[in-house]
Amino acid sequence: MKHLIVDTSTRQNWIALFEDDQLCGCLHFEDKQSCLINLTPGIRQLLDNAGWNIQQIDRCSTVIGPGAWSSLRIGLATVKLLCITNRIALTTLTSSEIVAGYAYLMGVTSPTLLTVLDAGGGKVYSAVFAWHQEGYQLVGADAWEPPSAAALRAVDVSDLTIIGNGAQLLEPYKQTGWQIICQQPQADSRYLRYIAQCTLKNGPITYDHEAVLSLKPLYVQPSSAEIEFKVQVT
Amino acid sequence: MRILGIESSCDDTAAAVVVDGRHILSNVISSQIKEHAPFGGVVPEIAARKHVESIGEVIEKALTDAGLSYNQIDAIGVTARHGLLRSIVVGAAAGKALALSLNVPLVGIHHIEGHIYSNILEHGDAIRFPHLCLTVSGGHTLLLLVHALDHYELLGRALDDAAGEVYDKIARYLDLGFPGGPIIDKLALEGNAAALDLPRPMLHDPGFDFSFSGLKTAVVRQIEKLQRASTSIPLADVAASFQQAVVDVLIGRILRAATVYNLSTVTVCGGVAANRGLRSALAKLAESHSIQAFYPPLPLCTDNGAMIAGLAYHKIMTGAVSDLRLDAQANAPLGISGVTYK
Repeated sequence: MKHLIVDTSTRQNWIALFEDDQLCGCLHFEDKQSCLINLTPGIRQLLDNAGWNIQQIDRCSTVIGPGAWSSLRIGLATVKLLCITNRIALTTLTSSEIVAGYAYLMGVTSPTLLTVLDAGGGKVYSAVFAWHQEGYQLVGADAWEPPSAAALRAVDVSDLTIIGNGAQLLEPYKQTGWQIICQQPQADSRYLRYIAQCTLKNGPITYDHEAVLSLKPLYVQPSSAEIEFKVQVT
Repeated sequence: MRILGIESSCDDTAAAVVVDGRHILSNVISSQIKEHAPFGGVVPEIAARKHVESIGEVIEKALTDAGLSYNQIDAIGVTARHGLLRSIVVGAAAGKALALSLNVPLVGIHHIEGHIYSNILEHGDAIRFPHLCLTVSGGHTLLLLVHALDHYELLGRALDDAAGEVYDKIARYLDLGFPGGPIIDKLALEGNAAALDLPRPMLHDPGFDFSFSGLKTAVVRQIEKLQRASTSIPLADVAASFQQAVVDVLIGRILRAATVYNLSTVTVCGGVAANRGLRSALAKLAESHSIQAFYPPLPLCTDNGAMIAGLAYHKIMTGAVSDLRLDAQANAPLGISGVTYK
C-alpha cells in the first residue's frame, strides 16, 4: 500500500510517503506563501526519490483543519485534483484529531482529553476526546467558542488533559486535576507513522468520487465579513 | 493541442478546454454572486473558500462538456498573476496538481493578459497589431497599446476606482443589488440619460488616465440635493445618467488614443465590456470614425477559463512554460515590457 500524506493546515507544512508501515520520504516547509511554491514540487521530489509515480499511490490522507491559512486551501485543492485524476482513495483528519493523536504519542493517558486550538480573536476551537483502547476517540462535537465556554465543557471532569496551541487560554479556568500542555504536534517519523496508521485504519479503501469532489476545509470561524454582516442584520 | 484553462482570480471559479488557442470545446463558469450579494461586493475570504469547494466540479464539467478525459489534455493554463491572492492560489494549486498528475506542461497566465486575449480568441486574425485595447472591469480600467501578444504599452489607467467598481458602489448606494453593472445597465435602458447633470471626469485632460470616484460622489450629491428638496427621481433616470457619463468618458478616451496613435483597430474586454451602453456607443464610434471595434461574446467578457487556455497555447508555442514552482502574485507587471498599472 503506497500512501501519500499531506498536511498544510498550519504554518508547519509537511508531506510524507509511506509504503505500508515504512516511511519512504518526508519533507517539511514553513510559511503560507511558500506552500504554493513548494507543495507540488515537493510531492514530485518525494515520488522521484522513491522511484514511484503519482498513479501508483493507493491512498492519500490530508488534514482538513480547522485553520484559516491559505496553505490549507492550497493543500486541499492539490490533494483534491491529485485524487480525482488518479482515482486515489482519500482519508481526512481534523486538526483536533491530529492534536489528540499527538497527545497519545506523548504518553498522555488521561481518561478525557480537551484539544484547544487558538482560533484568534480571543476564541478557541475545541474538541473533547475520551481514552479508548489505544488512543483517543472524539466524543464531543467540535466547537468554536470563547475559552470560558470550552472550560465549561470539562467542568465536571477531574482527570483532564488540555492540549494544543490554545491550551494556555484555559489557564484562568484551570481546576484541580487538570493538566495543561501548550504544544503543537511535531512531525517526526514516529508521529507521521502514527498518523499513517490512524488514517489507514479509519479511511475508505476505495476512491469515492463524490466525497473527493465535495472536500473542503474545516474553518475555525466564519469570515470577518460574515460576522460583521450578521451583526448589522441583528 | 488541447489545453485546460483554469481561472480563479476573483469570485468566479472557471475552467475551459480550448484547442490550438482558438476553438473552445467547453467553457464552465461557477459564479459566486449569491454568496457575495449580501455584502454588496466581493469578500475575498468567502471567494477563496468557495473556490476550494467548486474547483473539482468545475474542472470535471469542463472536461465532460468537451467530451474529453483527463489523459487527453495536452497542457494546463492557469491564472497565476493579478487578482485576489487567496483566490488565485486555489486555481494555481489545482493546475499544478493536474500538471503533475498528467505529466503535461504548465503555463502561468496573467489575468489581464487573458482578458486582452479574449478578443483574439473570438475574432482571430481580424484583430490586427498594433491595436488599442480598453480592458475594463471591477478590478481595473486600463487603456493599452497592444504591439503584439505579450508586448503592451500602458496609455492610461484608472487613478482611483475602476469603472466596474463604481457601478457596484452606485448600485450599493441605491440599494439595487450586486453586481451593479448588469443591474444599472438594464435600468438605464428605460431611463433618461439627461436627467442628472453629471461630470465627465478627465475627459478633456491631456493623457489617457481615468478617474471615476468624483463621478460617484457627484451622483450621491445630486440625489441628496433632490432629497433635501423633497423631489424624487426615477432610479432608471439615475442609472441612465450615470451610465452615460461612464460611457462618454470611456469612449472619449478611446477616440483620443486612437487618433493620437493613428490606430484603426480597437478592442474592449473585461466584465464591463458586456455593458450594452458601452457596446452600443462603441459601435457608433466605429461607424462614425472608420474604426474596427471588437468586443468578446458575453461568456468571454466575464472571468473565464477559455481566455486562459487560449493564451496558454501561444505561450507554449513561444516556449514560455512554467515549472511546478509557479507562484501566485496579486499584482504583477504585464508583458515583456513589464507594464505596471497600480
